[in-house]
Amino acid sequence: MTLLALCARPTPIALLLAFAVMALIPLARNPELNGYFLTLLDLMLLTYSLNMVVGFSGYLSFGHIVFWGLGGYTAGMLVTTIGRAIAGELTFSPYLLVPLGGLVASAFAAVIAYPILRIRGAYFAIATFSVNLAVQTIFFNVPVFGGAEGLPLKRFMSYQIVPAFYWLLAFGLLAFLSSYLILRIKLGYGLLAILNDEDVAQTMGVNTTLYKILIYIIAAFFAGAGGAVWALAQVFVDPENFGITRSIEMFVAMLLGGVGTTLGPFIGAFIYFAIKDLLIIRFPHLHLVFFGGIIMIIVLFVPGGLVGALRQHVPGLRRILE
Amino acid sequence: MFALLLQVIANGLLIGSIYGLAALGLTLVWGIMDVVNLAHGEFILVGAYLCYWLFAGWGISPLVSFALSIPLGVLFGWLVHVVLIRQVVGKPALTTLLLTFGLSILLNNLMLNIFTPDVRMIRWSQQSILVGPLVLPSTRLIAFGIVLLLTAALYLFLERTYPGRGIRALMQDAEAAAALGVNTARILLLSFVIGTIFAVVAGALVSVVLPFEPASALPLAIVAFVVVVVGGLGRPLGAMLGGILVGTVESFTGTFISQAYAPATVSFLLILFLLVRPAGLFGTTVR
Amino acid sequence: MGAILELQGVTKRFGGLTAVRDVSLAVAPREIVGLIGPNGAGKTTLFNLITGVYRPDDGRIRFNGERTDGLSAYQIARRGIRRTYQVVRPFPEMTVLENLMVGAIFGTPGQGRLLPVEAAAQARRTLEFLGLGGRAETLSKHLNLGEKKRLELGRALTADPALLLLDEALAGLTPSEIDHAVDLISRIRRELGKTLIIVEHVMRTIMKISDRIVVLHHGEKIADGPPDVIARDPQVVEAYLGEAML
Ligand SMILES: Nc1ncnc2c1ncn2[C@@H]1O[C@H](COP(=O)(O)OP(=O)(O)OP(=O)(O)O)[C@@H](O)[C@H]1O
Ligand SMILES: [Mg+2]
Repeated sequence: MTLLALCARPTPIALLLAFAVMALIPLARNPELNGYFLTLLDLMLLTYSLNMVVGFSGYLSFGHIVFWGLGGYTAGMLVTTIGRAIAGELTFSPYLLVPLGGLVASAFAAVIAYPILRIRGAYFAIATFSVNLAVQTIFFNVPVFGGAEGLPLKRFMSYQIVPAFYWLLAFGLLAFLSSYLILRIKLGYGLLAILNDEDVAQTMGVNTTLYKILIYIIAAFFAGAGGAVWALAQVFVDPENFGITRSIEMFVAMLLGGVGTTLGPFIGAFIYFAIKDLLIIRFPHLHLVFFGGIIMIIVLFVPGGLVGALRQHVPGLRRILE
Repeated sequence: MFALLLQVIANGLLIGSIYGLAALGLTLVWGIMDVVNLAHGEFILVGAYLCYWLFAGWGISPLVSFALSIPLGVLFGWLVHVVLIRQVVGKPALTTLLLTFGLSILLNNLMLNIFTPDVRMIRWSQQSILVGPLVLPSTRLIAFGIVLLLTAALYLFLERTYPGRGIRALMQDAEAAAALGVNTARILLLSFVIGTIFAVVAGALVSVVLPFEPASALPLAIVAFVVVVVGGLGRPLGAMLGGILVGTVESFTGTFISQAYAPATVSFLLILFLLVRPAGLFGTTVR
Repeated sequence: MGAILELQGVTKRFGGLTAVRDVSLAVAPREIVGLIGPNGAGKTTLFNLITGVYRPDDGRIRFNGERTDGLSAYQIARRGIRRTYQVVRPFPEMTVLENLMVGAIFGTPGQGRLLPVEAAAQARRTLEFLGLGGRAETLSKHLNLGEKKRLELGRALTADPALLLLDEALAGLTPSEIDHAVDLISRIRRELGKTLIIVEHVMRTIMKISDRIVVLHHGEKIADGPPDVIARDPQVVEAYLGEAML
């Protein structure tokens, strides 16, 4: 009940409406449009996940894509295993496996969280790169996971983009609501304290270890679920699912929108795609070069991203944009 | 078996010394400026591609490129420091890491566009020197010699010259150094430029002993980070010893387990070190 | 009535340096203890030991009769100890109100957890008490030093701790700010019933507000007694030789 009351504010209402409008997109029966928004929602979900760790706790999780990749492989492995067992196409919607992708990613996060989150600052950031590289190497080389070729799934399921779209939409909405609520409960205040000054947070009574682990596990769930949907939508998963491009994209989207805000990942994903579309027309291969530059410009001049800048310069928006 | 073991160690030593050189640049910048340059892998590749481009395009001997990579490092380091790094010295890690992350993306994708994703390697001299059962490729020996030369030069610079002592003072205690009249801004620029030179030269050496591509930047950077962590932050000698250790571990994994797992081993080594010995093998201070 | 805080032979070494040596000390409920000593005497280190930032190499610390050395910092905090910092450390990117809310949400031992909505009300009450009501929505990095120190005091107070450790809460303040803070401190004891240990260099002030003075020198406790006795103690005067005593 209190939770519902918390959502009666401009930001959540606006986003609920926005998600409702997006739910109408598949009605246009335009495969290209569906595909476009599938990619956008995928990035948005991933950005929400990243923002929970980076924006809420201040820990730079550069290897965040590892959770997305694990979610994808979980879905891929389950589909191939079940498919082989019944020797044919799955008799149920493979998308029902999506939550398992999230859970496996969370489980992995839980295993590495305690050791890795003891490390702070640059050391943590680099350790996450290393975890990413190590996991990618394993999936690249172990035959069970399909090795470099990956796992083609089309023998066991058919290509269906519309359910993928709705799954991502649902998880995107859930990720937003979770972000929004987390910032309003004890966990959120503890994380904010950690972000500001972890040592002080401890002497203020915040169980910093527990809180960092919790947010890491929660964030991993959303990334893993997103990765699972993506793998099923592509009917394919390979070691590129641990690749660097999406890692870059989610950081750009998060920074564009406004790191640490709940509106940021939503807006950031849209701006990212708008910019990318513009760049790709004029500079087909150079868009990532520009995004590198954009990251630097944001860090130097607009560290709060769009939402942060609006909040700072338009006093009336401070209470509205969250 | 014994001969093989010796060979594996020799390989590790020769390659590892180059890692040490690359890490020297990182440890200087990190230790003195408290800026962790995530674009360090790309800085290394700048040297590698310079060497490759001059060799493949113009037939210029890598020996000339090694020399040329020093002024290139000066120019490049100066430019990056003045435009970017200077703005964020003293800012929180979040800021410096994100900034250099952006820089690494920019540089990496530029390289992808200019040099394509193809794997490159300079086939320069194929000769080897035989020492007992050991086969020592001449390119690796030359690279090793250059590493020794540069390390000695850095050592003399830090010990004997006025700016060098300024760098050491700053590494130990920024406030005290400033109070003693060390020109902090100049020293920071100098450190970053030296750090860049070492990265670029290390890259030039990499180009004659290892295959590389734009995607090598991350593994190379991680190797340099591991070496810094193993050797202890801000310790030039530690970086050299750490480089050799990491090179040897990699060489062992590559020979006795699988070449495919070598990068993962280094990652694993890093995580292990951060957990059990955050001050490094040779360090005594706790971070 | 037993002591609320009890230290027995507490020692802390940093490499070769013994920052705190064999310090024993008992603090009674609702007492105000002034902790003084020259620079580097070990005052801040003693606070760090009590709050669990460091573990003592030797000795025991009891809070309300329970051993706390060996507990982690957050566990000790939850038992009802809060502190302020010599070099202020407010949460810079949070508003004044949010800073105090963190205090309230993670404080109030025994009262169970406070929901953020309730914490906000509690935080506002404390802000009024501190005279910071008008700054509630300001980002704390934008405050001046005096305000930051009051903010830290408020962040500690909203947690409703039994014991407050103030590390040079008055240093760097203007005379009128000091008067205000001194008044606050006595009200904190009188109206809120807290126990306080206060580190302070301004002798006149500390002598005035403390029931008892403890003197540290080179990590050792060299004196412990009522302010007027301490002021005349030859050992203390010697320790402060060269520094203005009164
Ligand atoms: N983390 C640490 N590592 C090494 N030495 C330390 C550390 N913390 C404190 N010290 C040393 O312990 C001694 C006591 O320091 P402490 O800060 O407790 O003194 P203090 O009484 O608070 O002094 P001041 O009045 O200057 O604040 C000093 O010599 C200090 O240099
Ligand atoms: Mg002190």
